[in-house]
Amino acid sequence: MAATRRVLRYVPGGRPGRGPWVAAVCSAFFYLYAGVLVARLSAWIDLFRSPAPDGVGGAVAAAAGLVLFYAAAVYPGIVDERASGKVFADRSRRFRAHKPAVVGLVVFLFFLGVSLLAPLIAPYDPSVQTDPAVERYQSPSASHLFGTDKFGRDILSRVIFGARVSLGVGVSAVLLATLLGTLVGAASGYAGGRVDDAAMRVVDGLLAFPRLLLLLTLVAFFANSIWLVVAVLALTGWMGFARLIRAEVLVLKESDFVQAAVAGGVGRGRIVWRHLIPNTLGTVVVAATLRFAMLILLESYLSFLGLGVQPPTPSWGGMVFDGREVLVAAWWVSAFPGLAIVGAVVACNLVGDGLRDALDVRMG
Amino acid sequence: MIRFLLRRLLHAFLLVLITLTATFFVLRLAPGDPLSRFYSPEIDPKVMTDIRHQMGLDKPLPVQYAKTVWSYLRGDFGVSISSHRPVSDVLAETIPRTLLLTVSALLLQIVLGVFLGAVSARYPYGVFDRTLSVIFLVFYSIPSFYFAFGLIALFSIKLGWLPSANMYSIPREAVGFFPVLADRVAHTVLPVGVLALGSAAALARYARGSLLDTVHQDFVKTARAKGLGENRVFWVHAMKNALPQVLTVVGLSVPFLLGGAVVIEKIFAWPGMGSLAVDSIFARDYPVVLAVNFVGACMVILGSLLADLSYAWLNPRVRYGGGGDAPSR
Repeated sequence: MAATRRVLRYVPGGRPGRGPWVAAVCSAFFYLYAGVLVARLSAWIDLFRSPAPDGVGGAVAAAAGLVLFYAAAVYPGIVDERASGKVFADRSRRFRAHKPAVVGLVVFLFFLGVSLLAPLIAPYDPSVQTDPAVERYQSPSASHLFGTDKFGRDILSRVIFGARVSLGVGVSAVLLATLLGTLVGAASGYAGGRVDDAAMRVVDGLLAFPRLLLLLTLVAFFANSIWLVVAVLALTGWMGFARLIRAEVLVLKESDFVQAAVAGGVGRGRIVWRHLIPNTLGTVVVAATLRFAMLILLESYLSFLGLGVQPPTPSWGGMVFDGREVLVAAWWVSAFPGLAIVGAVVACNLVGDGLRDALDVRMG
Repeated sequence: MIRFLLRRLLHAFLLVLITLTATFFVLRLAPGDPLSRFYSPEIDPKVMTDIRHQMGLDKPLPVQYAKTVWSYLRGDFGVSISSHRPVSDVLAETIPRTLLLTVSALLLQIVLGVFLGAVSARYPYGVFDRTLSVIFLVFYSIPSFYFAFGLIALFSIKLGWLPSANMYSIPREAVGFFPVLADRVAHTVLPVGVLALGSAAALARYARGSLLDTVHQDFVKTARAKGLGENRVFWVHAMKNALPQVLTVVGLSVPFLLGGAVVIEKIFAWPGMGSLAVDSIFARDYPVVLAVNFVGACMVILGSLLADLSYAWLNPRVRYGGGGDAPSR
């Protein structure tokens, strides 16, 4: 037992810093610097200024990433060649037993499909302003299913294109946050000792920031680009994942197969990557789904306040803001985008709850 | 207990310091100039240099940082660029207004959330539970501005029962005590309601889960075996054991309350810290932005400190280093 413990106690490249607090301070500065770097890069590389979720390439890439991520978690054959198909059938049955979760999945896939096919299915161009005298504030009708807004733009088309922004930002930010959180959490949990202490102090410290205030400040002061919103949402959201993964890794570390691998001479990196992380995917996927729901909400708050996407690119939060002067008179201007937000968030929450039961995860 | 307290206080203090540092550098390293609002073609460059020197902005960054930290330690938060008033004055005015909103919302959230969550858990999967779960999910997923707009449309515009902006319509010197009080309260109802209901839904979900877990534990079986009625077992014994964990989660939800207050204050034209934050951010009023972020982080740290302390007080095992059933930390 003692021999195994020594092997498991991994200290990267020499002595850790003088006390966890110094390490915490240094990590905080590094984090800050990384954030500034991202912002500066996004301003310098003009490419990033354009709202990429508008482009088909970006949308397809995001969707592909999402599919791979969920497939890896739900279908064990991808990470473990020896797993039987029975596990997947089991999980699928448990998921399907929850009617609300299935409904949520259908709704979410519907939103995803709408955002991918936006240019094909939107009846009008979302930014074209038609003759204001005639078209403005038309109530829902056969020609404009959701009515028109102050400038005569069709609300249905704007909601459809707004889905691109909301989902695109949400997916990108969640994948980034998951990546960062998994790496930090797994490494920290496996390393143990003072490195772990320091990292967790930093994470706890970062969790102390009131997130919306920080988001506001960062996005308003730096460039008002959509990639900055993605970066900031990811950088302020990875901490939850790190704590969760670390807790899982701490438990997994002591399990038989890990100790067998260590005894067999498997290197540290391979242990983390090949043995620990695949076994945490269940937890990660559930957390990611629930976090995704929260990110859709957060993005709507930001665009409500006027940050993130710029007009005329439609965004659900911004559209709700636009309708504030005519809340009762032209209720459809605020009502429909808001309903879209609620629908997407409810769907994601339902899927997350269903996944949690299907994958048998203890969220702690 | 004292040692625990002192250790947590030290952590909190260091955390506050780190927060101040991080915010300061983020603001200073951002593109843009604190003095950009003063630029105009006619201004003599020498005047700009003078202003810069007066505000201490021509010194190297680490020096500015040190000066800022030192003045913060003495309670001096600088002078607002847009209003030329000391920031501490501005804060002293706005913080109580925000506290009125947040604290009321917090209390309402705790009462509503815990009670409704408990009611759900008392008869799990029954009619009450299932309807309430749906309601919780919906309220949890609604963006607060959408909810606010809905309530304003209904109660202010259509029905005219409640006002939708500012803190008061009747000046203090006017008629009698009760009309003024009623007016003040009427203005508070909508903002507090919106703030509280969303977070109450989240808390209710958590409380329900926590209570359901508690009810499966051994001591509940013991209580039932002793012959205690189910109601007493649930509402007295199970609740008392599930409550500490639930309250800790409340402490962790303070950041969200503060963030939510920002949007709510903007919508209801409530002149509190959230409105101040948004206005100063858009006006690039650096001293105010720094101070607001700092105060916000302090309140959050204070909230989680209180949550930790209350948990330690309720669960003595935590004080002496044991893990107990502490929430995953």
